[in-house]
Amino acid sequence: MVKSLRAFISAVPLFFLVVMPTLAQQRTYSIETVGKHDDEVLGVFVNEADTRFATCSVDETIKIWSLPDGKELRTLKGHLGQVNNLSFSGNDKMLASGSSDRTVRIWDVESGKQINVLKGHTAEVIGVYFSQDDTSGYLASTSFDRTVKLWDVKNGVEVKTLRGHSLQTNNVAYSYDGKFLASCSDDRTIKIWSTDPNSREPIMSLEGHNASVLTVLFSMDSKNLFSADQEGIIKVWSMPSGELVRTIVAHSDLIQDVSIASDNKTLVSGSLDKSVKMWDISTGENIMKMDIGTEVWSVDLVSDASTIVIGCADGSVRLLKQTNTTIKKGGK
Amino acid sequence: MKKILTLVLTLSSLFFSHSLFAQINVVVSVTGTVLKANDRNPASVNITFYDSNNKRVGSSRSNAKDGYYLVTGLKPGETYKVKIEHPDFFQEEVTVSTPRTSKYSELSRDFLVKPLISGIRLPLPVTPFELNKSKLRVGSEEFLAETVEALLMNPSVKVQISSYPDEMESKEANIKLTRERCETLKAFFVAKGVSADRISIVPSENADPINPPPMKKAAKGKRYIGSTYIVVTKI
Repeated sequence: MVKSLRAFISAVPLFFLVVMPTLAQQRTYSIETVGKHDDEVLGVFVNEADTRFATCSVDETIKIWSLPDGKELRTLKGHLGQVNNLSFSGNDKMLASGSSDRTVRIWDVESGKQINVLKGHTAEVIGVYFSQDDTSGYLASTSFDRTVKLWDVKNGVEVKTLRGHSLQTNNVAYSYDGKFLASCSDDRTIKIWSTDPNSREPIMSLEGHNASVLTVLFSMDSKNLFSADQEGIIKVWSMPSGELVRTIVAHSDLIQDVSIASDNKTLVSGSLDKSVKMWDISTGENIMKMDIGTEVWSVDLVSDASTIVIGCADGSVRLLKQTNTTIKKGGK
Repeated sequence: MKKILTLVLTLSSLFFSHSLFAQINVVVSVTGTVLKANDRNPASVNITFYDSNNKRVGSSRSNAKDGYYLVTGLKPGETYKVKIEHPDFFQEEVTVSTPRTSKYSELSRDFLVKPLISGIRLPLPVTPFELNKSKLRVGSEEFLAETVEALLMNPSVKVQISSYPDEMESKEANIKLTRERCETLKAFFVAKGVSADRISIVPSENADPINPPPMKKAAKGKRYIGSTYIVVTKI
């Protein structure tokens, strides 16, 4: 009896070493519709302070909402075509939007006034991203004209055009350390560019996706790059080496948007398969899945992932709020 | 001094006349393929080049087998009016500019010609509408200009604007969208000088049978938009 008890006690640490790593933290969320656009919501972006989020739509408008309550604050009008994407500046004072009217527009967040219209793309603007430094002096945009353009925000002028993709470019992201830009394209590649104003050639081209790459995003520590494609696959790349770290068969339909939490390992994805999923990027495990009932175009989350904002094809804007975290057996 | 000046002037005139001579003798050719706008099959038409003085400077007839044509003897750095003519096709006129060059050069230019056959459906070069919208999208005037020109140059032709819906909604919604699109396009053509009585409209509550919407939604900005056609009704 004593021998058995001793054996059991000695095995307890072993249990935690061997069994516990296979258990994943599962999160549950409640869902609430906070408002609507008149048409499909294509973009969502939460500001740096987690106090506001913005949405953009096929209805040609942008809406600004408050967090955590999801109250609609104002509607920005001015674009002449559907608004495809948004980005808050690093200091949360400005908002950039890209539209099928081929323009990028800069807005003052507090007043809602349009500060500037940036013209230069020759086709629909699909992706926009502010440099994430405090001044957010630069803005990057991508377009179906296959280019990536960099803009001087203060002066409202085009600084340079990066040409390298052979097909339409779908999205762009700055690294948080300010050193790199990543762009993704229907040519199934991701190109990494230097933010050096004199550099016009890609530093590297990441290949591995077997379908159009629809979105890219750097982790907040700039050590990883996330990409998602038309077939519902997410890839994780180590930066700055560009080495593929992980492939996740995430959704059964295209993924138009992903977002990363400040822990640099919690990634959320939204898909036209009508679901939102959350992943632990360090293990590749799924830690949340929620069926929304309508196609999800866009996702973003607050820093600690306690709230997820989604934009849906039915025009609804919804908040997913974390209810609890449980430990369940993980793995596939 | 006079001798030096004379020598300089002589040499200069020789130099410039040589360049001019070289320029005069430089020939540019324009070649390409002529295809039918409705089915991209080769078309045999007359292609005639006119210079800025409206003088005919070159012509060709495109090959019925492969649509190939070649017009040569053009000058570099010039802008030509090109008339495309055949009784079976819309008469059309385009502008072609030749490059500035000091040696023989070939310029490639393809043409899409619109058959003059009653009932034929001619797709617009680029869809002029955004998803779920009936107003003309930004920049659409540019690519509709070619259609406007074709209508203005062929005043006896009557057409019908035929529009199909985007991803299928209710029949009422589809008819509303396609009717508004037809009316928007008709208003545009009328504003550009095409007589209103030459244009009729046919909205549709059903999907385009030739180019139906796909089963799945496409990615952002690439969604299926219902086709709009110009259908020849009377020649």
